[in-house]
Formats: sequence, structure tokens, C-alpha cells
Amino acid sequence: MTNVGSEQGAKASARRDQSVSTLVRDAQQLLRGHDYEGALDLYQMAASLDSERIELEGYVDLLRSRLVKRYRERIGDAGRVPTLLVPLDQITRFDLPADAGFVLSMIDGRTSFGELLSVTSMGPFEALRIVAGLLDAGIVGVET
Amino acid sequence: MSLGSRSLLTFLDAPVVVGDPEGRTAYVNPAFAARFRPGGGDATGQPLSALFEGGVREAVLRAVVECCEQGRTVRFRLRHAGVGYTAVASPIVAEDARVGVVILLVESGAADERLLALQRELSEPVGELRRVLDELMEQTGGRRDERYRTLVEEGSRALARVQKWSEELTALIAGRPAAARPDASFDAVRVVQDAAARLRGEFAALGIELEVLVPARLPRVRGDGARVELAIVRLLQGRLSTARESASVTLAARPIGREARSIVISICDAPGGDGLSMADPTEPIPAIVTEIVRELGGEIRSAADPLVGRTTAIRLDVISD
Repeated sequence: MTNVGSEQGAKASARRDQSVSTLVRDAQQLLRGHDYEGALDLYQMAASLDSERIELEGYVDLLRSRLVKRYRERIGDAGRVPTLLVPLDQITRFDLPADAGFVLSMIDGRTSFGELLSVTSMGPFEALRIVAGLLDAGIVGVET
Repeated sequence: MSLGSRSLLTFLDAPVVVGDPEGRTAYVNPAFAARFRPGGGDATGQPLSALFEGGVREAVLRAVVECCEQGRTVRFRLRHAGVGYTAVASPIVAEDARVGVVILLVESGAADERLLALQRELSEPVGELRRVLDELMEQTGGRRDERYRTLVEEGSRALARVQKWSEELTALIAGRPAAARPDASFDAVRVVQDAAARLRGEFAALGIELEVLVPARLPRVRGDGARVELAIVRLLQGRLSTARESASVTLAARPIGREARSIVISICDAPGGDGLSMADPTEPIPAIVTEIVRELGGEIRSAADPLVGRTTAIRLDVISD
């Protein structure tokens, strides 16, 4: 009985290793095309599949750190003040996640990006990702 | 368990007590009898607790219990008849797996005593400073006071470091590594920020950006924060010496797993440009860092990928409620 159990365990482990290897290979393919967002998703999936390989979490952080730079570049000067470009009654059509809605609720035409990021109580990566995403989607802009 | 009167322990100048698994005295050497039981008669067979009095008895019994229950050496300090001792209680495992204990008492040097006294002197003004800074913090909440609030926060962080190292010093003098405390835990956000603050100037001097990515809060982590800070500082120093071509080094911490039972602390090093230029990016982990992570029951791994960069990740367990 024990042998059958260990055989099944070994097969499951082999399947998991194969899945993780495939995810990492696909992530590297995306990295070659500079798709850091896509690669991050795949590395996160790989890390959750194989929690023994802590280096996968390290790669997740590496990609997050590179994306943070991208988001910062996208946002530009943190002293600038974002404004809503889409009327409030039309925002629902974007089907935004709750975190993004929370960030949007704080955009009042006076609060700067820097202040916005510091008061969200989210992690810096999550907050920057949302703000950069809102800019990319054209929901938020900056008065020039 | 009985030791003959001609045991080598008989000739030791340092007091020695051996306790059997029932908590009775199996043996005391002449040095112990002379210093702790002058004219007290034969101690053999008496409860260990009967050999000591007051606070010393409490300290000895606590150490014996910890030593026997956990099967590991326990260090502690005691003072008897005006003399300070550093004591080491070590388990003795009998054939039937029951545990006895041998306690060795070594006179503390005058320097140790002085260091302890100095540490006590330091802790009082540090406590006063903490109260003052906490009060100032409450008064600097508004936007106009933002600059002063930042200064107070910096002061508070520096003071927390002083407190932490002061406690570490006490533990060291007492021969009790703080990491050995089973109930110790720390705030990983503060530890990461403190480690970064210690090296920020050195990074800036080399033109390397040191980015810290931590959330406002993380669950408390099991272990000694001072040791983890030391590990992070060593890893960052390693990056300082090898990552000069890099545009930046990132120190990150976040919870991992569905139930956030662990956190990961990463030191990431991404070369400038597309990352393809990084040659042989693998970095050995310093032995002290590996030792610290092992002490804490964590895990550390270094890895590199020419497409992204290199990373050293440490997993540590959070404390359960």
C-alpha cells in the first residue's frame, strides 16, 4: 500500500515538475519579447505550483522590480496631479477590480500621484500597477 | 548517574552540579560545595532546588526545565555571594532516553559585569528618547509638518536600531544568543527598511540605486530580527561588490502562499538594458547568511537568468496566532 502511495506521489511530483518547467519555458519566451507582465503571471503560477522552489518567488520579485520601473516611467513626475478622463457614470463599463475602484475614488484633481500612492495602503507594486493601468486605459490623465 | 569522588570534575576550580532525571542532585564537585554549600553537608540525593535560594533558584530551575525539555544547552547568568557567574546547563541523555543535566558555573569577568551595568545605563535614556519621539510623532500629523514628521520617523527608526542592538548586547553578554529564544519574532518591514538604511549611502556613492519594495505591513516573522538584518546587510554588501555594472538593486519583501504562512525577502539585481549582458551572474551565498537562515528554520536560494537578472530569495515562517 505504501509503495502504491509513493508511486502515485512520485508521478504527481513528476507531473508538477513538468508543468513548472513548461511555465518557466513559456515565461522566458515572453521575456524575449519583453512581455514582463505576461512572464510575471507565469512565474507566479509556477511558484504556487512548486512552493519548494523558493527561487521562483525570487524571479517573481525580479520581474516585479523591473515592472515597477516601467510603471514609474509611465507615471512620470510623482508631483503631477491625475484627473479623471472618463465620466463617473461610464467607468462601470471598464469592469475594474475593486482595488482600482478604490484608487479611482481618491482622484480628486488635487491629490498628486505621489500622495495617491502613499495613501492607498497597498504595496508599492500593486499601487503603481493600478495607477499605470488606469493611465494606459485612458481612464486617468494628467492636466498639462 | 553516580560519579566517584575521584572524577576529573573533582579537580575543576569551577563549580559543577549534576542532576539526575528525577531532578535530584547526583553530584556536586568540591568547588561547588565550597562556594555554594559551606558546611551544608552532602548534597547527593537532595532536590536540585534545595541547593539554591531566591532568584538564583528560580534561574537555575528555569534553565534545567528548558534544558531537559528541549534537549539543548542553555546559558544563563546568576549572582551568588557577590560573585557573578555565567552558567551553562547541558542535557545528559541516559540509556532509557531520560534526561539529566550538568551545570557548569564559570565566574564572570569584571569586564562582563561592567558591560552589563553600562547596558542598563544605556537602556534608560533610550526609553526616554522613545517616549519623546512618540509624542513628537503625534504632533506632526498634518501636511504642513510633513518634513518634520519624516525627520521624527527617521529618528524613531534609528532609535529602534539602538534598542535592538542594545538587547542583542545584553543577550550576548549573558551568553544567550537572542536567536535561541523560541518566542522571538520581528517586524519584517522594519528589518528590511533598517537594513536598506544602513547601506543606502554606500549604494549611492557607487551610483547604484537601491530600491525597497515592501508593503506597509507584513505578518510578524518567527526569529531574531537582528540576525535577519545582518543576513540582509551581508547580501546587499555582496551585491555592492559585484553589481557595479547594474543600474539598480531591489530589496523586496512580501507574504507568500495562499494563507500567507511565510514571507519571502528577495535581493534582486537587474542589469541595465535588456539584461542579456549579465555575464556569469550566479552569486555564492555567504556562510553566515546560510547559517542565520538555517537557525530560523527558513530557506535561501540564489538563482540567475540572463533574461531577467539574478535573485537571492529567503523564505521565513510567520508566527501563528
